[in-house]
Amino acid sequence: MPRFRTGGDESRRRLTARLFAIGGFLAVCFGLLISRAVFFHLKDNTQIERVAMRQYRTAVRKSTERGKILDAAGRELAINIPAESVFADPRFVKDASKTSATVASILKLDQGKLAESLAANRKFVWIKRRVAQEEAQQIAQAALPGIFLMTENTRSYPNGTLAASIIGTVGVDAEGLAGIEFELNDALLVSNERSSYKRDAHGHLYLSPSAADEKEKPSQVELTIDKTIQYVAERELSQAVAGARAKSGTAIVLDVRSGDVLAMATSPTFDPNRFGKHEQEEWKNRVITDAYEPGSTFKAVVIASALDHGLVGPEQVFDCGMGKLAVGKDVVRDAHPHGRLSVADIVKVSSNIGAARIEAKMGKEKAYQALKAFGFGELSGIDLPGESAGILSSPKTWSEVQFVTIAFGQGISATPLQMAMAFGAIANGGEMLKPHIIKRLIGPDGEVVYERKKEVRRAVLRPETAALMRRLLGRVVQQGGTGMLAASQEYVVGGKTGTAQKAASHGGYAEGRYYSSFIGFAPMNDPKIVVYVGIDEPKGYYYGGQVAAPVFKKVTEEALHYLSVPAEKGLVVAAAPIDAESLAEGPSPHGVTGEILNTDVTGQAEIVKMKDIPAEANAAPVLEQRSRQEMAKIVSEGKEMWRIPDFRGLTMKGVLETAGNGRVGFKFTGSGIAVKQDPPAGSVVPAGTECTVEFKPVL
Amino acid sequence: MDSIEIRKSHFDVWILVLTIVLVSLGVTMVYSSSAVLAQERFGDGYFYLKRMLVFGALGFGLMLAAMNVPYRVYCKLAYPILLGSLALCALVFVPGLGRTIGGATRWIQLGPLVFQPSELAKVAMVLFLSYSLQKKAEKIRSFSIGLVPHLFIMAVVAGAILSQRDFGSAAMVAVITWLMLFAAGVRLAYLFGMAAAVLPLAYIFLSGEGYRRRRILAFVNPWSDQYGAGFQIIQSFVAFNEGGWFGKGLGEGQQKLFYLPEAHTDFIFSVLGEELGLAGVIFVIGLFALFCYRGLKVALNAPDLYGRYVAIGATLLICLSAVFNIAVVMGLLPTKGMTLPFISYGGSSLVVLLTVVGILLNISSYKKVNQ
Repeated sequence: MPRFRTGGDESRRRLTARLFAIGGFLAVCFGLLISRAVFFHLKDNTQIERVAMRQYRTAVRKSTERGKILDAAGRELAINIPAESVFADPRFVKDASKTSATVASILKLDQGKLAESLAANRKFVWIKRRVAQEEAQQIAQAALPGIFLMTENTRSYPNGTLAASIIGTVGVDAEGLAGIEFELNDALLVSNERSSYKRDAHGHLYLSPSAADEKEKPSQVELTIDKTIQYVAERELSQAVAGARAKSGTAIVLDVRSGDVLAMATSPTFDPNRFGKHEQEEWKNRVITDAYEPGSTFKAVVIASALDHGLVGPEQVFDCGMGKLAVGKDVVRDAHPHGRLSVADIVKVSSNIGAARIEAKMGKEKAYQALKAFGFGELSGIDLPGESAGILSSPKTWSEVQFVTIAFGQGISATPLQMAMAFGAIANGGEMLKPHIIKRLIGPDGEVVYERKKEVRRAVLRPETAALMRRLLGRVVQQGGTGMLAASQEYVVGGKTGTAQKAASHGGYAEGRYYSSFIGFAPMNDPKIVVYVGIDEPKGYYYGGQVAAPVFKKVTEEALHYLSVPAEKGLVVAAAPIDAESLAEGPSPHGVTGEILNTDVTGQAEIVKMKDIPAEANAAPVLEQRSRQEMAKIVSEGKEMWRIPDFRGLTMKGVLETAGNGRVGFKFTGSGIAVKQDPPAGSVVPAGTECTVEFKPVL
Repeated sequence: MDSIEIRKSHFDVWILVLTIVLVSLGVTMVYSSSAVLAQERFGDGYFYLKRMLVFGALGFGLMLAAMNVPYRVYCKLAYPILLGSLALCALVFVPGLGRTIGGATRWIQLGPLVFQPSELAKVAMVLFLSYSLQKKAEKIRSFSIGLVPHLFIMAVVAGAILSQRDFGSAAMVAVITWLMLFAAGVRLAYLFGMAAAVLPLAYIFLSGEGYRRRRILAFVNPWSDQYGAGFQIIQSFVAFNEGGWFGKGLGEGQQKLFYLPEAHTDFIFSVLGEELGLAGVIFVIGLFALFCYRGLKVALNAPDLYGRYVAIGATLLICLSAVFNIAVVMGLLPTKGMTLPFISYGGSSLVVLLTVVGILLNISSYKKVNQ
């Protein structure tokens, strides 16, 4: 066994101490290394990340994915369809002529041009984007060096034009161009970096199977729009616009309690799948981008404000000057001359002079504050791009005549949405709400990023005033009111007609160019929705009560059916009282003489003989009923005696249109197509007899 | 004086296990980091893996052998080994035998075998110092006997290594010599005086030659020369950053795709950082720390001074190399060619270091017993 000597105790202790010192030194070294490693990850490494991003990303453009857009019930409004795109990295192309020949034959491209781009001194060249599946397969099978496939997502709108003006559309590189697509572009758009490839320092691409997992996912948007109601609104609106040969039209269905927009229709519209084929003008969401002089619908706001201030009462009587009111050198006219009218009747017959007199009670400043409170001249704050605030000028600038015309909605301008929101306040008891169109934003991992809440901008009316105003507006659709065609046999509704003369480009007002609208709410006792219908420049019949009110009625009924609001049974709707004589008075074209043509032509004469309403302006099924209607004429059998025709097979509207001239009253039960009637066809009855007609759904 | 007996007992299993774990990790990382490179260079993705496995097997064979050779044998062979390794270092410059890779002539080629004599020279230096220090133990505190001869030999060996432009290994020899002199009880005044004298020299040396100077500047601020001298260290940072806490997973790293220079040798720890994350980094540092602890424990319990010095030298050789390499890739020291023991690809280094572990294990199997 080996033996050795040590250098004594002192030496031995020193050596041991030094060994421990070495151990301590190394321990410090390892400690430094670990803390360096940990602190490296705790500090800000953006500069390093930038280097990494730059070198991993090849020249290949990023592909993109957009989140879905859904309706309120989760139905798809905008989706993605993956498609393969072919691109080349000319640096890796081996045999340019052979490659271009093969690729050109598969993709049916011009070989010369292709060879040219393959010879380019670039890292990235698109060859063909979004190729057919078979083409992509063949390219993949050919496995040509330098030719690559990349999955791109194509935005697709499965419902075509439905809600196009709301959703908007995207460009070639999936960037939002309009509507929700534009508004929420950042949330919806995800750039999949070019994650399916890795690049080494020599520029080679490596396919990485795991890269797909790292892909970022986009957010999803749920709108407050309901696809069904939207469809109904668009269908009815486009038929009305076509029937009236109008320039354009808008419709809104608003949930008055939450401020949710259930439908927002614009006509004409566009197909977002082929947006390039449409003019940019057609992409516009006129509901929010275009401000119109609203016309008589505005009286509802003015009169409600006056009532709320307690300046007038519903039974208070005003002198309507037999249809003429001189304002300085100008004269304001009503369509029909009236002497003294109560406030309630001013609303019902839509007297311009009456409205002006009520407004005069408020004075300029108070009127201005009231209109401001109703949201005029300010953005509603809806979450869509391009909203217009309309024009509400300062009262200091109002001339006397402008102050008068504002009372009937001329000399100010408002978007359809602003008008709908103002009526929403009347319908919901006085709250001006912020309109919402985005219901929820759902993040990549399914978490709710945003959810709209009811937002009250301000209280504008006391609940009692709002209820009173609703009752007054309910009379508008009753016998003698301007909005009779808005009356429903199923629901008690209220609303206001409007027929505004449009300003001419050279100043003043244009001859024969009107903006006709109807805004109403339903059901009367507990309003759920406000429906706005506006028709821009209808030809032929142009009164709001003629062209817009029937659309209101159709949309309201179908929307309430869909929302499961029970119909009121046994509702009796007053038959329209117009006969040939009253029509002969005719609508006066416009009521202002002199230099200024500020006027609203609405009035009692808005009610015209029903059968003269163009059939196209009505719902499509009515067309099939026409021949039956022709036969179902109520025929005079001597003084105050009438022969009852066969109503069977007609719709309620059909019955009213053919026989609803006030000779007999009607009591309707059920809904759909007439199946039974009492008295029976052919019987001769005295005027004023009530006919009972029973309806059954067709399906 | 106590009567001390030395008797054969069990070797330190910890050291063996740590070595096996480190080498296994090394084989894995060498494959992960070299496959693409090997495919491109040799058309065989397994090129480096195969060689690593062969050298590993050879190394473990030599380790087993060394475990069973009483360590005092090297005491007698101190001079022959030193002179032999110096001779091998000189052979590098013999035309036909020397092989130049990447501008540095550090290898001897004999048929298919390539050997790097500087790896052996470091071990020879340790063995010689151990022999000399224990022989002069009584006079170690004298300047002329305890310090000067050892510094002279160190200068010769470091000079030989430096002639191969292997600055890292030369610095390693200097640091290990210093620490072993310290361990042997050389006066602190001499040791620190020597360090104080060397610093200005080192400054002149480092700022002199172009490529070293650029490396030092790049170390101070890599972003000032992002695409030049700072490129390597920034790529290494990118790797660690990409790896995050738990890494991208084995084989998933991107930095080895030719961004990192020498991904399978000098910068293999960066690849590990990217693929295994901070967790892997701490794990490996922990393995070396544990190795260090066990190695110094062997030194403490060694039956004689020679055994203690060899154990210290062997432990330092492995652990200081690891510390230097990791410090370099994490930007704590200027970049220079230095491999990570057991993990980096490198035949000579693996074979030599495994043999050194064998010697260490042999020392660990002796114990002194007080009677």
